[in-house]
Amino acid sequence: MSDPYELRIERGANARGYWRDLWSRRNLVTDMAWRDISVRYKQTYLGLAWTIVTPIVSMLVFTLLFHRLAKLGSEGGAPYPVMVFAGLIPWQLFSQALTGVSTSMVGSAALVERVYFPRLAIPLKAVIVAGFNTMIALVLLGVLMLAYGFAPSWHVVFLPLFLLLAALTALGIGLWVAVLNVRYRDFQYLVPYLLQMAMYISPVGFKTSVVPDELRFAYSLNPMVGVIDGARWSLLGGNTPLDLTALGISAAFVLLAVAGGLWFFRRSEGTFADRI
Amino acid sequence: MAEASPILEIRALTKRYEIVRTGGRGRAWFASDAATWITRSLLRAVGRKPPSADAPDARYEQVWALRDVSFDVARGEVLGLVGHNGAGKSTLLKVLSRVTEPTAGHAILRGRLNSLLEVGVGFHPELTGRENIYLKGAIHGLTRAAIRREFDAIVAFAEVERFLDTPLKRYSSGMRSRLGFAIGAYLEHEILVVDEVLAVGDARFRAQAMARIREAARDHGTTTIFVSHDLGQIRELCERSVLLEEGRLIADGPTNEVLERYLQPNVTRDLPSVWEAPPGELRHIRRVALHTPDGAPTSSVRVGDPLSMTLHATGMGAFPDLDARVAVDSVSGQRVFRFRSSMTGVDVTADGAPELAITADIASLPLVPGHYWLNVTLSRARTRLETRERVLRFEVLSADPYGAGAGWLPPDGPVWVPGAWRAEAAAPTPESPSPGEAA
Repeated sequence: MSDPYELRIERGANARGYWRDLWSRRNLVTDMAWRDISVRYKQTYLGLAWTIVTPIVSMLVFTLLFHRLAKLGSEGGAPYPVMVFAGLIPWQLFSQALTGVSTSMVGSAALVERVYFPRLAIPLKAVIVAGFNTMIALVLLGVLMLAYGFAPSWHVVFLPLFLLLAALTALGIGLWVAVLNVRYRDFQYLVPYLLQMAMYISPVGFKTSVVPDELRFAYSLNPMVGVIDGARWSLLGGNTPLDLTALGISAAFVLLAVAGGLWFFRRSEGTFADRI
Repeated sequence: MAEASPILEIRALTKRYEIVRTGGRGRAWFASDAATWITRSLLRAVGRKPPSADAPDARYEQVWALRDVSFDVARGEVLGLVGHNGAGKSTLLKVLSRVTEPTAGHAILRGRLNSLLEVGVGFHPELTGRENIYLKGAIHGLTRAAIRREFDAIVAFAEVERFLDTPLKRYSSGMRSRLGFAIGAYLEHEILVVDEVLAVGDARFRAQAMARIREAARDHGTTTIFVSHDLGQIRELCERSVLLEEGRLIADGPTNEVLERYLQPNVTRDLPSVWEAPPGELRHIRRVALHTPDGAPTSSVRVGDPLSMTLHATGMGAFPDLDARVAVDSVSGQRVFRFRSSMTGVDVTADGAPELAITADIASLPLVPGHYWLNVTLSRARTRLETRERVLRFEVLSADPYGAGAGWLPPDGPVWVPGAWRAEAAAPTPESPSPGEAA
C-alpha cells in the first residue's frame, strides 16, 4: 500500500495551496455554519421565530419614529414599513455578519489551538450564518409586501448583488477586527457601539433623499449608503434612479476592505494558535 | 521505494515562541505594539527594511520550545513520546498537526495525520450524537462520504446506537469519551496522534482504546504517536520511545531504556543557585540564593526534599512590617505556590536593621519532577516594595520518596503528596457484586 501522499511541514508551508485547501474543506465551513444556526435557538420556546423578532421590532420602531413622528415620506409607492424593511435587510446582513466575523476567531479558540484548517473557514462560516438569517428576513418581506399588496419591479433580479456587497463589506471590516480581537479583546466590545451609531447615520429608517442635496456626496461616503439604496432600489423600484456615485464608492470600499482584510488576516493567521 | 521510506521524517525541527516579558500587557503595551506595527509597515511600504525586522523584539522573551529535534517513525510503528511538563511534547505535536508552524527545520509526513482531540473539543452539547459525528469528522478534515463509510464502526465502538438522536449533553461522560475516541480513531488516516486522551474515562474504556490502537497498527499499518503520563500504558503499547527535555531530543530507543533515562535523577546541568543584582542598581533586593537547610548552595532537589531560599535586602531600616514572599511557577507559567512570611506570623524586620538576610525554609518540597521558576517579593503592609520575577530556576529531580524501590513511578499532576497506603481485611459487604461480574 504505497501512498503518494506527502506533506512537508516547514515555515510558510501552510500558506502554500491555501485556497485549494480551503476549497477542499468547504464542508467544514457549511457544517460549522449549520451548527451555529441549529444550536442558536435550542431550548428556547419560540425557536427560529426569534430570527424574525429583531427585524420586526426595528421596523415598527423606525416607522413610528421617522414616519409617524418625524413625518418622513416613503420611496416611490411603497408603504413606509415596506420601505424600512427593504433597508433593514441589507443592514442586518451587514451588522450580523460583522459582529459574527469579529468574534469568530476568539469564539473558536479551542479548535484553533488544536486542529489545523485554513483559518479563513471560521469568518466565512460567520458570514453564512448571517446570510441564512437574511433568507428568513426576505421571506418575511415577501409576506409584508403581500399584506400591503405591493409588488416589486423587475429590478429585484439585482438584489443578490447588493446583498453580496453588504456581506463582503462586513467580511472586509470584520477580518481586521477578528485579527485584532485575538490580541486585544477590546474590539469585541467596541463593535456593537459603532454598529449602533452607524445604523442611525445609515439610511435604514429613512430614505436617502431626505438628506439635503449639498450634503449628499459626503453622506454617501458611508459605504453602506450605496448598498442600502441599491437594495431598496432593486426591491421597491420607484422613480428614484440608482445613485451611481454612492454605489461606486461602496464598490470601491468593498474592494479595498476585502483585499486589505484578507491580507491582514493571512499575515496574522500563522500566529493565531500561539496568541489566542 | 515508498515502503522503505519512513512515514514521518523530522529534521532539525525548531520552534521559538515569543512571550510577553514580565509586567504584562498594560495600556502602554497596546500603544507600543501599535507604534511598532505602524512604523514597520510604513517603512516596508516605502521599500525600506525596518531596522529591527529580524532582530528579536526586546519586549518579548524568547522561549525555545523545540530545538533541533530529528527522528524518523516507521510505518506501523507505535512510538511513545515522553518528557516532563514543558519539555516540548505538546509543541511537537502541534507542529506535526500544523496548528503552529516551526521556526526552522522541517518534517515530512507520508500519510495523513489525525490527532485525537480531548473529549469535548469539536463537540457541541446541543447537537445529537449523529450531528456531532459529522461535525467532528469535518473538523478532522473528512468529507461526508468518508465519515459515512466509518459511521457504523464509530457507533459500534462508542456503543451509542440507541442514543444517536439524543443531544450530546444527555450522554454520560463515559459515552462522550468513547464517542470522541471512536471518531478520531476510526476516521481515515495513516498517522494517529494520541495526546493524553486516555487519561480520562474508566478502565474499560482505556483498555478498549488501547486495544484499538494496537489493532490499527497491526491490521491497518496505522502509525501512532502516543503521549501519556501513564508510563505503564507507554510500556504496554510502544516498543520504541523518544524522550524530550527542554525542547531537545535526549533519548531515542527501546522504551525500557528511554524510560529508565526519563526516571533516573537527571544529570544536573549548571543552573546557577545564586542571583545578584547588577552593581549600581538602586534596588532593595540585592541577592537571592537557593540552598539546603545547612547552607550548601543548590539548584536541584529531589521530590520531597527540603529547600531554603534566602534573599538579601538593603535599605530596610526605614521599612517596618516587612513581608517577604517567595512564589514558585512551573516552566509552563503556572503558579504552583506562594509562601509569605506574614502567613507564618514571623516578623522578618529584625529590629530595623538596614541589611537583612531573610530566609524561607521549606521543609519538604511537594513538587513533581520538572523545572520551576522562583519569584521573590518584598512588601511593607500592603504596599509592594519590589518584585524580582523569575530570578532563579531550579529543578526538582525524580526520586523515590515513598521508598517503593523498583516499582517507583513519578507522580502525575502538579504536586507530590507525602503519605502512605494500608489495607486490612474487612467484613464482606453483602450488596457488592462478586469480582467476576464486575470485571
